[in-house]
Amino acid sequence: MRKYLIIWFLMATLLSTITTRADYPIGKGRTAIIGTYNYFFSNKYFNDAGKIVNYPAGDNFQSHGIALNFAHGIGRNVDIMLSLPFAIQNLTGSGIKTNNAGLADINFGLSFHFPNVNYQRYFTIKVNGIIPAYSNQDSTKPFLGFASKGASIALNYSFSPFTDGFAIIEAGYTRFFDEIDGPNQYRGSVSLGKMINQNTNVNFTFAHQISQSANKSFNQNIFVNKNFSGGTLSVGISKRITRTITPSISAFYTLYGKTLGLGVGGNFSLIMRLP
Amino acid sequence: MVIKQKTTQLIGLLSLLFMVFLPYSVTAFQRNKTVPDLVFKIDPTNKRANFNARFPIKYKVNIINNFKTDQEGTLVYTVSNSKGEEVLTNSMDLKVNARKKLAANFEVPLDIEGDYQIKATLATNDYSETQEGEFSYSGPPRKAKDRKNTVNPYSTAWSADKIFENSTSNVNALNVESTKDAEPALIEEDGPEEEGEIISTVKASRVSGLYYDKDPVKYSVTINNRYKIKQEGTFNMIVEDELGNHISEKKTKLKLGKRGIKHFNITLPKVSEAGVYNLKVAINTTTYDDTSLYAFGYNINKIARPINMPPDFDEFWKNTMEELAKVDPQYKINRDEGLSTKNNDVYRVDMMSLGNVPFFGYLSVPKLSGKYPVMVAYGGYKKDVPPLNLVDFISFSVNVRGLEKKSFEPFNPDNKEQIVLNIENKEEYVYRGIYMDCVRALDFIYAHADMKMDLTRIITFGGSQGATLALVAAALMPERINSVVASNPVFVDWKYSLAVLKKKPVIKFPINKIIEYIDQEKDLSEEQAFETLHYFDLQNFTPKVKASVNYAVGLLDEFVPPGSAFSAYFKLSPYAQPKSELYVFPKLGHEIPVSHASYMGIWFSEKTVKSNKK
Repeated sequence: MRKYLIIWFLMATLLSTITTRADYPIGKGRTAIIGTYNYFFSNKYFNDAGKIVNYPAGDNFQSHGIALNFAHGIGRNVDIMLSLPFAIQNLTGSGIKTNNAGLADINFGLSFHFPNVNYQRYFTIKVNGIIPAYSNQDSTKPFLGFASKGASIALNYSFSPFTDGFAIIEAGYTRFFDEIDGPNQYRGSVSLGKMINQNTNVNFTFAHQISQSANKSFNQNIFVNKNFSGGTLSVGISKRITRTITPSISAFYTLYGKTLGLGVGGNFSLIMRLP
Repeated sequence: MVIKQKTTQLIGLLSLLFMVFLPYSVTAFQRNKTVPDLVFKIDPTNKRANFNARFPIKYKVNIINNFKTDQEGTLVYTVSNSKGEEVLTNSMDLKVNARKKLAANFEVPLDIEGDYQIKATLATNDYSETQEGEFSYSGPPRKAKDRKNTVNPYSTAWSADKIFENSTSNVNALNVESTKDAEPALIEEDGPEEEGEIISTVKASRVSGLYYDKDPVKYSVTINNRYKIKQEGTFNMIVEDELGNHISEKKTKLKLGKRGIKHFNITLPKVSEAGVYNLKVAINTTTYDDTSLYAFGYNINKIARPINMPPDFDEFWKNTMEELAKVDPQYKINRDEGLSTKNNDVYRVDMMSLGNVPFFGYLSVPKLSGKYPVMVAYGGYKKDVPPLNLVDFISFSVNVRGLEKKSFEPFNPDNKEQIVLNIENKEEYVYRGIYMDCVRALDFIYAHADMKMDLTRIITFGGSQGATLALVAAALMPERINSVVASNPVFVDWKYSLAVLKKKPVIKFPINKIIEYIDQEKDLSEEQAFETLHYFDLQNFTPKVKASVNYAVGLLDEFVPPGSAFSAYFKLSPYAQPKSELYVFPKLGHEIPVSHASYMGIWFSEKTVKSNKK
């Protein structure tokens, strides 16, 4: 028949749609369950002038986090998500060790994806609510967070800047409501990823965050600081091992900051797509 | 197909000049004896060959036929991406009368950013020439300051590979109605004030090109005069039904200053009957003569076509399926080392089908463990289907009977055109076997769940003939298929298709082959041929489809009347209809846009979420 190569055209595009994943919709009716483990360690910090200062000898802050995240495509371009994080925090300050553990800030929200005409680039709006599953009544233990309800909105743009690559440019704003000193947090990030083969990708993310509050005090437990700024770089690799399971590992480092703990850490996650 | 023409000389002025300068012209002609028999020139409409979403990829073809005979043939162009992969092939039939010229524009339907190479071959009765060029497409337009800094690394020069031939090939031709006298001179002799063109944009008020009930059929028109001289003339919109019957006409006087732009809206007179209508837009001005073809649909869901279903249709196919069931499939599965990749194992699967005729398919299985949904791909008319190495699906590429050389001769010993092979007898007709090959391919899948195949998630898909095969398979095995993707299906509503396509200047495939055959075979009448074809008419199968269907139609399809394609779609069963989606592309012919191909990836993913546990 006529010399149109409809099928090959189609398949080439289909393949690229499937393999190059950025912040794309999960897909109507599909579910992703993501289990993550985070580790964070800090024994120095950036002071308010941006200079690195060591904590007194032996002092440090460590955090282990386990989270179970669910995302489900409720529509072709709408996802719903829920995150249940469990944190274990160990603080050594002035030679005294304290720790705390518990369910931390529960996140839930919706993502609305707006594709371009070819479904190769997406503009995404994410809205999230934050509900703390703990309180900060006991000041002898390191706090698990602000213990404040909050909400966030983030906008991002996902696209493929090069062959088999993906990029996400994101800007977000988070507001915590329960305390008069907030904080208001602004975050911008750029992620770049490259499929090194059909099932494996490497990715880099640079993120800059500004947290603004009238409370300018600094705490070794960096999760409770309200007024800081800084940038982190993370590097990760993920490899699909079965049709539905993809483990990934990443490491991050705090590059610069003000009134911010200098941390290094890692993350391991297991993504299961259903069906 | 959009046909655009322009004249480069005023005929009256040309005659006067010819008379006044006749003696000089003769001398000049004698001095320059190298006037070619045919001048073929193809250039991007944008001199930098830098296109974007606002200025789509367009090329200008100029042909001067200095032969003493009409030149009929085809212009075929192929577009390859920067990796050298062929991404698009398209062809246009043309005819340039003796000592006439043709000037036309054509649009290259690509919308993926990148650098491309284009190769265009003109082949007429006595002439053949290939030209190559390059262009880039950059998506949404950039800001002016960015454009200044943009350097197109590609020259717009075409490297010519010219071959003169004296072939007598019988090429189907589309008459170009307004070819103009061509002086035996090169095209470069046009005066500078004649250089330019008129760019028209005609946009339907409905992006889909579909109107319903009381919707007024409106078009917004922008006409941009790129000539350095004023243009006066007419703008005419002629509405015809698919059979070519004149429905209405709207004519407007046109006056454009030099390099002037004019915008206006036109509401067409209301059409009364459901159907697809062709809209001829003719711009005829001082130095420009252009006819473009558009189309719109009106109440397409109410298109009523007589159902030419033979009374024993169901019985015929029941018996055929039973006959197939008696054939031992003799599956032979061999891993193909050459086609297997790092991520996918590819197997060649040979099997026997109706009449003990062999055919084969390529099964591509991702290496990662897991149960995978299965995508069954059917090919276009006489097209091989290579393995499709997918990430999330097992694919089975079905190569029906007759595609492989070694099995071709016993299958078609007289080398007849496939579509008419044994058309005299419905029991022997080639498509009875081909349709059964499609069913047998599904039998194979059902017999091999152990090869990581999730039998509750099976989809069929294809384009053109492949679309028809995908739907027929879903109709004959309705409980086995989750979903169907069918783009530009053919073999539908034969009687109407014949009536429509016979009205075209050139009778297109496949009707032309059937007509030729009926003309040759004196013992076979048109009605007798239809008696067979009705058993293989897609619109008799669609009511039996229970799966969701993603169905695409181009309103300018020349191979199957879009009205017929709609008719088949709206005959889908009430079970399938609510979960199916119809996509209509008003500016496309027998093709789909890249965006739709991308969307299919999403469709496949969505439709394999739920298992089909029936």
